[in-house]
Amino acid sequence: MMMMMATGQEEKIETPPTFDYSAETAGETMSRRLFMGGMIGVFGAVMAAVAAGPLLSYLWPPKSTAIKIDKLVLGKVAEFPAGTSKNFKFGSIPALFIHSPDGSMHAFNATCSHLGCTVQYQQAKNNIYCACHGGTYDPATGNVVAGPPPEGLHKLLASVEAGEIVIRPEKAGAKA
Amino acid sequence: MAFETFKKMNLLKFGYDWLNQRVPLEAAIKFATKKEVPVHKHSIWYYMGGICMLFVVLQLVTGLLLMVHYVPSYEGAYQSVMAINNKIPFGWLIRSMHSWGANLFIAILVIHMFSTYFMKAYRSPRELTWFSGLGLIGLAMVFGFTGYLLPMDEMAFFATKVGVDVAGEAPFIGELVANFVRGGEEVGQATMNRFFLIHVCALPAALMGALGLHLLLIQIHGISEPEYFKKLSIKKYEKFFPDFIMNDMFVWGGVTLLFLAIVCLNPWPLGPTIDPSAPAPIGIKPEWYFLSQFQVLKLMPSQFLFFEGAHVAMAIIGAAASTMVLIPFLDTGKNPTISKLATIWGVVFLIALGVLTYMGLQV
Amino acid sequence: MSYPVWEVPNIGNGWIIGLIAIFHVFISHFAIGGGAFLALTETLAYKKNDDRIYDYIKKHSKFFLLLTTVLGAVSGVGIWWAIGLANPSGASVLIQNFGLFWGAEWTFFAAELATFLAYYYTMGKMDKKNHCVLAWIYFGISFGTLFVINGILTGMLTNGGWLNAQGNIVGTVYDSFFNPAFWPALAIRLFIMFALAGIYALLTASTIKGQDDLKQYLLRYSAKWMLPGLIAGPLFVVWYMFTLPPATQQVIVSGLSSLGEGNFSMMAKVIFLCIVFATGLIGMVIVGPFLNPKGFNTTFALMLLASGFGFMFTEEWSREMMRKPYVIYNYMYSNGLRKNQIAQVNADGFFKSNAWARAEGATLAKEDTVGHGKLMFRYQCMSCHTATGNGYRSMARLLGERDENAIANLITLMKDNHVILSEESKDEKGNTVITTKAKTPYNGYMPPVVGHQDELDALSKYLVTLSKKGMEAGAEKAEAQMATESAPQSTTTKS
Repeated sequence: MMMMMATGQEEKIETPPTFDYSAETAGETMSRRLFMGGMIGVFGAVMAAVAAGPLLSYLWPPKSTAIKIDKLVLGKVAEFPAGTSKNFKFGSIPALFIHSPDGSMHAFNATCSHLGCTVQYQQAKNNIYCACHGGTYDPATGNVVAGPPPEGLHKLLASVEAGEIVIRPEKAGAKA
Repeated sequence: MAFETFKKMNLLKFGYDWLNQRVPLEAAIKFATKKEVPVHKHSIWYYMGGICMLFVVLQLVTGLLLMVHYVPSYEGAYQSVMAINNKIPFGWLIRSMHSWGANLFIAILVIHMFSTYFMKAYRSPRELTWFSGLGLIGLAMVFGFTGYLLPMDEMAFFATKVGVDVAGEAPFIGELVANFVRGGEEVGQATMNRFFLIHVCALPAALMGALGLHLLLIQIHGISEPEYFKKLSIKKYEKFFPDFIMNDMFVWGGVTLLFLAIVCLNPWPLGPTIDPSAPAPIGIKPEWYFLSQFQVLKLMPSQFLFFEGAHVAMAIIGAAASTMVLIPFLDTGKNPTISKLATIWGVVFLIALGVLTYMGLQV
Repeated sequence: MSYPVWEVPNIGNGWIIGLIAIFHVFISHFAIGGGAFLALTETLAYKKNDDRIYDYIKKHSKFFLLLTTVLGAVSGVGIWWAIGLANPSGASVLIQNFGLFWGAEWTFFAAELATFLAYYYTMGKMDKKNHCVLAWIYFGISFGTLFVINGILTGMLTNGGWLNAQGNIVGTVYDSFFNPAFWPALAIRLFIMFALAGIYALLTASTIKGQDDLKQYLLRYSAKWMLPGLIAGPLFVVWYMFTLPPATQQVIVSGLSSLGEGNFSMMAKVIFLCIVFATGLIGMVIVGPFLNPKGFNTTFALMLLASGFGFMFTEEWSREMMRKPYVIYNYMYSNGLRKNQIAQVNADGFFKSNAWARAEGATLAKEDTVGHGKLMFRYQCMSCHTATGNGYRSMARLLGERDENAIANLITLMKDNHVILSEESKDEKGNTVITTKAKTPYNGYMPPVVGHQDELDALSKYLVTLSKKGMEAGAEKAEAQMATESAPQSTTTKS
């Protein structure tokens, strides 16, 4: 606990010391403001270093749990007459299946190459349309027809097996 | 060039001046350095308030962190707490700190309260400081009660069920209150919503208010001095800022180390998930800070004179608690006999709390 | 494997060694770091020619004398008693292997005591310059005790070329003594000693009355003894970690990374706590005696001392756990089983290989499998596990809900616990890569169980009686027996 300086001086009269350490101590003490700043700085830096690692790892989002699948049975062919379409999830990827009026079947990764919105099939105009910024794609090839998208849609393989529509990635192991 | 001026300038001083022109920094520091803390053999109790503050901060920080991963739903809560405990890096540490912290916080609050009680710090002009402190203890207990349910494990579920049922025993309005707290007849999603909201929104806001008032009043009135110290001819003081604050920081360091040792070596457990149809688990009891009240209820016969036992018990608990509220008006310091009686009552109160809690732990 | 077992309920005999050793280390480290402190501080007093510092040194060294020569020496002997009882096999290997070094250690120790007594009782009576030299001599000799014990302690974990992979001794004792961890461990211990010397000095300096300027000067001076550890400590800790056996490194890394994942090992928790204590302690010294010496008092000094003890406790505990499952790494397991002995014991059978177990087993009926199993447990498991209740690594708790089958499977698994499988594969360039993998998940944590199959079966029979299900069944059986025994028409002829 702090002693009054007066008592310290009284002691000094009784036993004169060789050194007055208060001067020496004061000499090495920084100015009060620096003193506080330095204290908080050092203490904070040490503590922050110890705490930052665990804290960051706690807050860090867990590894993405992307589900990869090789095959998906969408449904019976009869459920999708020509001219209809369906948005569905292929694993964790949004996907789009189109049964064109001309009878051909196509499937795409429905992520718009512009800013990642999910695209839809417009039956009346027979195109793939992105409602966010008006990007338009060809429903047969997935190529860009109009609007801002820099590239076409990634294709998926749609086929009919035993009366059911089966969706597969374009190439085994390739990024869908 | 700007660089030359920059080089000549003391950066810290620049920052200080900049701030000082915009907020009354100098006045605040002047006030803080002028304030003095008495130094005497009972000075150690002055650190209890600071330790309470440390726990408030720890609870707020760990609570915020828990909310990052916690899902407040009847079905999802247990799963999410399980994930925090077992999957999320350092989740066990954060959760353990929060649970242990809650209990230690209340323990320190009780120590803080009784140390101020015995130092007679509640006397004029500090009555409002005392009341705000009592309010803070009340808030802490509600924090504890609402927080206990949130992990939704077996113990949490049944402790809450029993706890709310006790409130239902109160005369006349009991059942109404219980249903209101539960948000229905049974502990379920509605209870969860209410408890979560109270725990993370209502109580922290109330805490900030009460704590702000408490701290402001302490700044206004200064640190209370015990009677014997006032009479001393030579009194020792140390400056509140920076000396006492620095001492406080040292104590916080020590307490944090002890706290982390407890937390790491005894991580807070998570019980099995709830099964509302299962019988109440053996050995179920409320958190230790409710045990003394609980024990009074248990000890009371079902019929006491002309009244229902539970009502009498509640009246006793209420009366005992109200002495703590009324003490600043009863013991004003003018009458030495009353002063002595107040001290004796404090000792009796403390012993009763201890004995009842101990009895509660035995079952 | 040829000594009796000392049974200690609840905490296990290992903790008896542990508690005495940690207490001893907390004092003996002060004896050496404090030697440096006395020497340097006396040099300071000599240069300044200041009687007030001499007075302080006198007071400090009296405390030093009492603490180190009484508690330090007694607890040191206590360690020998404890390891002799709890781990006689390990102790015998240490004595046989390091005989010469123990001789050196005790010579240094006797010289250390003599020098300190000379130092203390000639204070003020001897020429100041010579007395200062005496202080440095004391530090030199006490450093000798550290030098020797450091070689032995590190040799128990990182024994360099002393052993081959099969656990046979191929090198000389010098390979074991001057092992890879010798120098970094020596440096780390010195830093810890300086820091501890500073903390003890803070305690004595905090009791100075009436000379505020001196007190504050000495507090700041003592606080600075943390600096070597703060600045260079982490570097040497990293060096030390690189010298550890790969398996130990793996356990640390996986433990620390799974620290976040709930099921972290005790070792990781303790290492984490050790880091927390080290940083917290330095933080406290900064805000306490270094920046605010006038607010520092004896209570605060005692808090620092307690925190320092917490640091030493976690540091020594984690160092001991790094050696798991060995008492002498790669040579002898913590239950006294030598690694190169496993095949022999498995062939001969456990009871034939262990004289004490054989003698005790001879008193049991042949069909008493549970009794034989209990002996297996005593001699093979009890160095680390307690049996019943909620004791340290209690089997009753660890077995939990496991049933008879699960326990038998566990024992079968534990039999191959030392087996490392290696697998050859080709990498992209066509080079042969050998990847090694432990056969069981307990490898690196526990020794293998040894013995004939019927002995292992006996062990699992006994473990079943400890498990929750076994306890319940046992209680019912006992109740039934009580009921029949107390029945009035009982026909039991037992007296």
